[in-house]
Amino acid sequence: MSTFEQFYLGVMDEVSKIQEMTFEFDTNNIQSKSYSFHRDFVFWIELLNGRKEIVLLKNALKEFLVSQIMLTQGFYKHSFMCLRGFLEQTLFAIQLSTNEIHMHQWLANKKDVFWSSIIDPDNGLFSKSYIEAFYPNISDNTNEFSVMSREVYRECSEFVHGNFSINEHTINLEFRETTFSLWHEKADTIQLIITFSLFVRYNELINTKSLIGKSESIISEKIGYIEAVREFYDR
Amino acid sequence: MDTFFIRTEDIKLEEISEYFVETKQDREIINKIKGSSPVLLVGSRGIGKSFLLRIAEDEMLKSFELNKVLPVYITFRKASLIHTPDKNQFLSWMLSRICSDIIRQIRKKGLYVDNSVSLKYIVGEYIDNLHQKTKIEEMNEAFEDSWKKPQTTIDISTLPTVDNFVEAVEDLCTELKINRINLLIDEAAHIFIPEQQRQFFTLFRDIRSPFITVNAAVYPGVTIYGDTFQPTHDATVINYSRDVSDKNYLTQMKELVLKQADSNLAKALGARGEQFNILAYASAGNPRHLLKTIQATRNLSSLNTNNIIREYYRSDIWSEHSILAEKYSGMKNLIDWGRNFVEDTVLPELKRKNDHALKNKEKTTTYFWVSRNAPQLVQEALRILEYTGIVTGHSKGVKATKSEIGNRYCINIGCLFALESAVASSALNIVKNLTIGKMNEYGANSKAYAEIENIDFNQFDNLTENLEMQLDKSIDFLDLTTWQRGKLREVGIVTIGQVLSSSDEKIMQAYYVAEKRARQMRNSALAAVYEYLAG
Repeated sequence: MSTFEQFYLGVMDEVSKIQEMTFEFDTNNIQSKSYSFHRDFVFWIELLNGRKEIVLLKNALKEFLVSQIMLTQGFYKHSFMCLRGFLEQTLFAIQLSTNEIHMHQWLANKKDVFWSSIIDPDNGLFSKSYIEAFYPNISDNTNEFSVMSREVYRECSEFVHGNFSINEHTINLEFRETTFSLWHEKADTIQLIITFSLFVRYNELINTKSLIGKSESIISEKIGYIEAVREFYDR
Repeated sequence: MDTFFIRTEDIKLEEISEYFVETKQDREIINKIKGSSPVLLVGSRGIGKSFLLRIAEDEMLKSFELNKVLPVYITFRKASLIHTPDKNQFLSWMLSRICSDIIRQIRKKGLYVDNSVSLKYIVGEYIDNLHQKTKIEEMNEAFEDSWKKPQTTIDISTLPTVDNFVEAVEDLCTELKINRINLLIDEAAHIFIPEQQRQFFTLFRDIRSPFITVNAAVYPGVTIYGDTFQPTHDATVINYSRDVSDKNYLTQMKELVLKQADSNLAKALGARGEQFNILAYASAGNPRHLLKTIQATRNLSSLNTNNIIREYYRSDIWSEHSILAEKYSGMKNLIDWGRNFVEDTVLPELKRKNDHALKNKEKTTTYFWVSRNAPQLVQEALRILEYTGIVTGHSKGVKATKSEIGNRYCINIGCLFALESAVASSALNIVKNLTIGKMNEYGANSKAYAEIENIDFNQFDNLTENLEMQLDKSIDFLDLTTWQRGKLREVGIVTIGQVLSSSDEKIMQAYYVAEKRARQMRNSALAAVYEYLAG
């Protein structure tokens, strides 16, 4: 066996040990809770089947899966990068769905994602004008989600950019309890943002008894504390 | 959760507008401050007076090219450090401070004209350029360092008289083509030093001119205006507070916190809205109380919120009040009496009233009334309570039962919540049913004043001795986080005096982080010292 093959196999051994330590540590099963969001997301993919933005959503889901794999294997920097990608691509998909011109430009490879436009306070996905267009009843809660999105994206970006303060989490290939917990903290926030954003944009499509039944637990588990969501399901 | 900016001094001027949550009241106040009539902004510690002054400054700077009104922000927080034999030291220092800050602003704006004649009276000498330190700035520094060697005489021969100063500013405005200079004076008067109040308000009135607007932020309980200043005639007096029963109150307070929130806190604010509402009401509209209590709860859990309400509003908020008794020993008995009056009489009686009200589905209250014929010492004690924000003066000249006239006060609502065994269940009910129509009354000869007649009350005379005593005290007395104090101790800074006298490098060494953060922490430490010394 060549030296470089030995090197790569050696890495896989390390990674496998880290995975074992990760699952041993996770006595509260937070990893499986994160994994279950994968199923929740599939609900939206099935609901939106046939729409142009579906390919972005499918890619976004893959980012989320890869993020989790990277996390369990100790590739923390990359797990945060993919987690950020999950958020960005999902929200970009939603943003494109509201503008046919941009959608067509994107399909023609003439438009890229701009995070700042997604969270723009005047025209973005948490702006007053947007919320009033798609679900005005929920407008009391949008400020928190706007800040959450901005901040969690920035917090994950610290891993992407390799900020000094993040080095302790990423410098060595090893299992780190604090980093594992930190990832899940951010993942939880991102799941909340994504559920909220998908609900605001596509709530009109949840218009049959079957869909209401399927979606209620998925959505209520995350954002059921919001009165406008409870009202949606109570009517 | 990151540490919040609790004090305005911690925020850079160019970033201040990012933290601003504008209300209709705030906009009206800022517009008045920017106007040509003087404003006296009165409010308790942490309510946001400094913040409004800085927003006004920021806006005036941004519109300077159009309006030609030059804002000059001045803080008198170092007043406690002035210790010279000159009996007019405070007036001299105020003038030197104002001149120094005008020079600084002119320098920053690049407005300086070489060999300016009009600047001579303000800088204290003829100079050919403003890039070096001027005599007046040296004089100002000497005053502010006088605590290190009290009784050192400072040469004030180049200090302008008040009249010369006013004329010099007029000439300067003409030369620099400025319409006027708007002075924004913060921490303007020390509530425990009447002579300083007198001198400040005399100056406030005397330097007014078409070319100088003077605005000042003071604490409630400042009542000594000197012989020439009359509050209602010589300034617009604005009492700054927030009304918890305003329909936008919770939204505005949440916005304020969101401006500084990380993703975890933003999430908690959404998911645990009720806990936030309780803390917001408890703060009674005081952002400093709100930010500190939120910082303490960490995740806004119900258990944490209950515990923090009790700890903060039964203990921490009182510790500020009690520190005054430590610092001003001549007033200790009066300060303690005020605390006992509120804790042993006002609060329990209000709680009884509210318990009865809630049981019988009646209205609740946070108000109490004191007859204007109550002993003068009672009024003094209440003045001190207003200063620390335990009590807010609401209305004067209110007629109570038996047609007696007196003043209505509002107790800090967090202090009421802290008496509840189950804060979560009763707090929001108390707020929902509040009425101004109900108040507990304490007449001219109320039994509650029984002990007051036995109290010795004297303002302390020896400022220097008192300052020395304060500087020897531990940094535990400062309003810093446990972490910040720990960091200072690591580099051997353990007393208040050592914070003041340590070099920049030493303090920044305590916080081995990037320079930007270290500077912020240094400013926090110094701001805490000035705040402590100011009372």
